[in-house]
Amino acid sequence: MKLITHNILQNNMKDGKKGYPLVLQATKIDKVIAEFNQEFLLRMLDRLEYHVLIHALEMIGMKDFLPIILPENCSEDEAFMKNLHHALLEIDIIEGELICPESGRKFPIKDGIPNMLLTDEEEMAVDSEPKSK
Amino acid sequence: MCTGLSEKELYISLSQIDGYHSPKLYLEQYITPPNIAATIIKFIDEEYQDIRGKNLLDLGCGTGMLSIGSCLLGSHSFGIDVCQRALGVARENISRLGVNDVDFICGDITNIKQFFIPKKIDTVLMNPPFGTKDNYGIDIKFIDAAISVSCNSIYSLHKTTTRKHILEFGEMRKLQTNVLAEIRFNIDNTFKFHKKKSVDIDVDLIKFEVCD
Repeated sequence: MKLITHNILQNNMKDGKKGYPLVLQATKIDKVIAEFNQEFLLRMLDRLEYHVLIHALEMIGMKDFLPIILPENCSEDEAFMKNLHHALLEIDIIEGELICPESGRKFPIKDGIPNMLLTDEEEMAVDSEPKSK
Repeated sequence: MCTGLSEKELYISLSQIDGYHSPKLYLEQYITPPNIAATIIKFIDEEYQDIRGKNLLDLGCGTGMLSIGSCLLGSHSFGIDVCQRALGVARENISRLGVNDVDFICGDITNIKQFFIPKKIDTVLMNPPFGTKDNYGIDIKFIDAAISVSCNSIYSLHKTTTRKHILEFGEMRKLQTNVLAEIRFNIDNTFKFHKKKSVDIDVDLIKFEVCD
C-alpha cells in the first residue's frame, strides 16, 4: 500500500464521525520504483491532503525529505516534485495496520493490501440496507 | 513510461495475468479476456484521453486485468475487491509484469463510502458482476459506488440484455449515459453450470459522465 492510498482511505462511521486520517503503523516497508509522471502529480496536487501525507511520512519515520507546508509554486520545483513522487508512489507498506483515530478499529495491511472489510455487525451499523450476495 | 504500447503489445502483456485459482460463483469471478481488456483500454485512451496521467479505479478488480492494463498505458490505478485471495494473485501479477503504479484495497464495494473518500478519482473502469443470476441488482450497486468516487468518467461493462435497465438508471441519476460499443465476450468454462467448453456473451461498454 502506497501513501497515495493512505491519503484516500478513511473509516467513516455511522454516527457521522470521520475516522480520518487513519493512523499508519508499518512493520515492513519496501521501496519500489514508479515512473515519474508530471501530469499525474499535478492533477493529484489539487486533491491531495498534503498534511496527511506529511503525517503519514512522520508515522513511518521518513518525514525529512518533504517540507511540512506545501511550498508555493511547487509545481515548478523539480526537486520537490521528484520527492513528492517518491513519497506518494514509491514507499510500499507491506505489513502493518491502519487505525481509526476515532474508534481505535484496526485495519490490517498484509502482503501490501489494506483490508477495509467490516464484520457483519459493523456493516449493519453502517448500512441499514440488507446485503445481497 | 510505456505509453507508446500498441494494442497488440498491451494484449501480450495482459496475457500473462493469472486468473482465479478457485473462482467463487456468487462473486461472478472470471477474468476479463485479455484481448478485450487491451482493446477497451486502448480505445478509452485514444478516444477520450481518460487513461494516461489519470487516477483510475477498478471496482471489483479481481486479479487486476483492467487496473494493470490501464497502468501499462500510463494511469495510476487503484483496484478494490472483496476477495482477498484474488488480490493476492493481483499482487503476484504486478510483480511478474514489473508494474508498480497500482495499489489494491480489500473492501466491499456496496459499502465504499465508509472507507474511500469521494470524488478523488478521474476514471472508473470496471467489469462488474452482471447481476443476472441470483445476485440481482449488484450491477447497479457497482455503478452507484462508481458515481460516489468518480469526478469525471465511468466506463462499465454490462450484459447487452440489461441495456435498457442500465440506461434508465443512468437517466434517473441524471448522468449522460452512452453505449460506446458492443462486445462479444468469450468466457472459458469457469463454472460447472457452464455446460459448453466456452460461452459467448454479448456485452455493452457503457460510459457514464459524472459532473461535479
